[in-house]
Amino acid sequence: MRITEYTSSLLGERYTCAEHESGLLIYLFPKKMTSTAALLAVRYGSTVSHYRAGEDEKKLPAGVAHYLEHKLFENEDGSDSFARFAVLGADANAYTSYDRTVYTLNCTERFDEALAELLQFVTHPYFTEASVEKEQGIIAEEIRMYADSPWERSFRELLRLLYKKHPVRQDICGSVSSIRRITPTLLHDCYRSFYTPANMVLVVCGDVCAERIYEIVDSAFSKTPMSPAAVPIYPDEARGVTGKARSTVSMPVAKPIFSIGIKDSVKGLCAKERFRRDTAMTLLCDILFSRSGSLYNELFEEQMISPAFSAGYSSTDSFAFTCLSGEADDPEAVFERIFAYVEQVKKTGISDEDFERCRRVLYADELRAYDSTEEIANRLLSFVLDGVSMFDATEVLQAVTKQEVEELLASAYRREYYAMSVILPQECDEK
Amino acid sequence: MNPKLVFDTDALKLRVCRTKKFKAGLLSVSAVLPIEAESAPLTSLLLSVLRRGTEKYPSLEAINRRLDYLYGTELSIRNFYRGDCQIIGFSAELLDSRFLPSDIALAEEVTSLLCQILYHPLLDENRLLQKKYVESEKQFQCEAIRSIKNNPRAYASEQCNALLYQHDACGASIYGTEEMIQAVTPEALTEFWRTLVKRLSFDCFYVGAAEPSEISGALERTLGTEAAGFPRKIPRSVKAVSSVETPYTGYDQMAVGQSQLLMGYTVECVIGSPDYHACLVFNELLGCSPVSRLFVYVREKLSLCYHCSSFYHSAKGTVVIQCGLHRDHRARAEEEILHQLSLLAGGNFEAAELEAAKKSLISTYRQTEDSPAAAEGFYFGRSLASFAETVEECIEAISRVTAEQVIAVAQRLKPHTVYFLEGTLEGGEEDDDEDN
Repeated sequence: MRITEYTSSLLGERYTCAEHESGLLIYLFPKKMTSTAALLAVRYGSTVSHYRAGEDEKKLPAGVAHYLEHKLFENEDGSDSFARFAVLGADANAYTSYDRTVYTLNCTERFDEALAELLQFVTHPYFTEASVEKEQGIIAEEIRMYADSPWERSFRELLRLLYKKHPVRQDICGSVSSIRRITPTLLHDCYRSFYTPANMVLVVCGDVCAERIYEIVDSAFSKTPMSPAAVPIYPDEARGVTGKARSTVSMPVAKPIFSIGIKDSVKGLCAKERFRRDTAMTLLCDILFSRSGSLYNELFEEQMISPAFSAGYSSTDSFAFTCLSGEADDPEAVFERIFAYVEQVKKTGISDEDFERCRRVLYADELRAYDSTEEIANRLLSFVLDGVSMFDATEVLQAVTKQEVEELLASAYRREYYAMSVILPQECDEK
Repeated sequence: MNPKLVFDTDALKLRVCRTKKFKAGLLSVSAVLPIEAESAPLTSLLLSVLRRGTEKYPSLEAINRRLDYLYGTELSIRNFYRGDCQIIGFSAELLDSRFLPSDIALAEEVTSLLCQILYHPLLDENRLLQKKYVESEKQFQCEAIRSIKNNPRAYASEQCNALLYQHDACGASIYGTEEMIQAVTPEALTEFWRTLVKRLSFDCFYVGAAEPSEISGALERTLGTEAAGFPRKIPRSVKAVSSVETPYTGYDQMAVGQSQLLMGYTVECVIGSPDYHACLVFNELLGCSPVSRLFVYVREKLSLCYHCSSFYHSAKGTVVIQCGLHRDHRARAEEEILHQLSLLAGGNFEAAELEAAKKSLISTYRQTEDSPAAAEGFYFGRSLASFAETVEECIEAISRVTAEQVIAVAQRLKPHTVYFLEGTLEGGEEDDDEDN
């Protein structure tokens, strides 16, 4: 196996990447902690709703990746993987996001056995009509749980405004009606198409022996034929917001909740370019909207927004956006203030003090992220899936210039990129 | 990583877990107050007002910018109930000096800011807390009271707790009622502040790489010069809820898709009781892991819900089961939960299940070594209950728990409260890409 090492003298940390013959990438981050965290990730998330496998093109109902994640915990002998991990004192779980499905493991002893168990159940799918149908009740309740959260709902409605075609507009879990269309055959198809070693990444962080991990991977993957994964097909999405840029939904909330989105584009950018843009856009988002900034404090002092206000930038290789969420009696007035403030900063420029202060905070956040095996493993995975080195983060942060951020402000915050969803208290419903 | 007592005066007590394992340490500064129904909401309001501006940093923006300068230190307000006590104070994550590009005494700068917030808030010309800060924080606290219904799970839990703890100090709302908050004047809140700070003494805890003398020096030169120095008397936080003859029931409706079923029990066992560790194991076996009875039977076998779990409130001796489900499934879920409780009380569980529950708990406690916040939570919680136990002793005690002890705990469970929040919508049906 070819092994590449990455080191950071600033952080005093190192990790390695080994490419297994099956195509699986194995990342090991040594850390002297009591707990060891492992993640087995598949580059297959909820936004794969259309894909090409060989000559065939297939479309999927919403929620298949998440449904598959639930069902992989069942085994052919009728046992449940959770019970096997419990014998080892290990804690296993999984999550599905827009661009990945991740199986997680956390333990303080018998890590080797637990890792072998994790690789075993993910590489041995077993579904029957009855077991797939049984899961519907559980997932339907998961869907209802998220649907009852006004913050989740507001965010979801925003994505539907920002994206007219891209499947990020669909809920990760799907809907109660879409999951009714999921069958064992469909799950098997998707498993074969995406759960190939070359489409997977194993990340381990803890006080572990590299050689032993490679042996465990050898026994789980060595006989697995290497095959290319299916290729997701994403629709062409307009740069700006097309159609309506506002939505309102009523729910039992005390005060209106808003989510403002500013759609970004990462089309045509290579991994390094996208990472640099991500860093600069995150810095810009903090400069404009952080709790230390003048906009937040003006809105807060004037009681236009409640303390529950957040802002952040997200990107994957197929979509990107900035999102601002909060509570306000008059979300439209808040929207206009935010828009006007951004336009004003475009004219006046960003102050050196604001730029350096926000960069200092991001630098400190970066350092704090190396104190938990679970957090390190998840962050490393994100960097791997983004195609960059984890230790590039501090360097890129130092390299980003104020001029670069100001240019992004001018080009990425145009009126046609904005949209806002609002959750209104039920009695104020605007029919 | 056991804490060492660095100093213990009337005004300040400092315990330190010194370790170079982390890049950021944690400093918590807490004052422990008995819960009083009238003053708890005022204390909540006061903390928010104090955080708005100080003599030196007169606005929220100035305080936040100062924290940014201190390498993005998060200064979180602590304000919560633990048993029948209200814990107030602050906690801060402090980057270790090894990783700071500039020479800055971070611990001292942060405790100095904390002192400003507590003892030198921005006052007006009449030496009163700023009216605009008091009025806007009153508004925010009233909104927080109303907003609890934004989260149906938390709302249902609060309604259940109101019944379960109706005769206990912790049954009083930490935010109070809107009427109570609207009636507060700057004069009254200023008076409340002056009285409160005079009687505060602080329990401080640090986990991290700094020399203990650096932290103790920082605290003594800042909080130590301001804190009153009354003999510290920690109020009693641990008191078991009494069982009732006839269980209480509560019911509400809400226009949401998922209903919430909560079942509260008394168990007559609190932190520090001889069977405390058996109670932890019982709760784990019942509803704290993916191999627990509630997860395996109510969720996996019957597909009735996504979440169904139990929570052991060790300061109050209660166990609360919460399940989010479709309203049509209430009776079936309740029946199965009762069935599982009776099986456990009858000793109908496997040795392997018991071992799994113990292993899961032990793993959780072992991981306190990996997290400053978890270590702080473990030791601070025990000191509140006057229960001296190290993580190693806790793990040892859990490993010794027998099936008989767990059965004895299960048999002591008595129903106290059943609360149901009925969701009146179907929920989750929307799908905008039906053609796929």
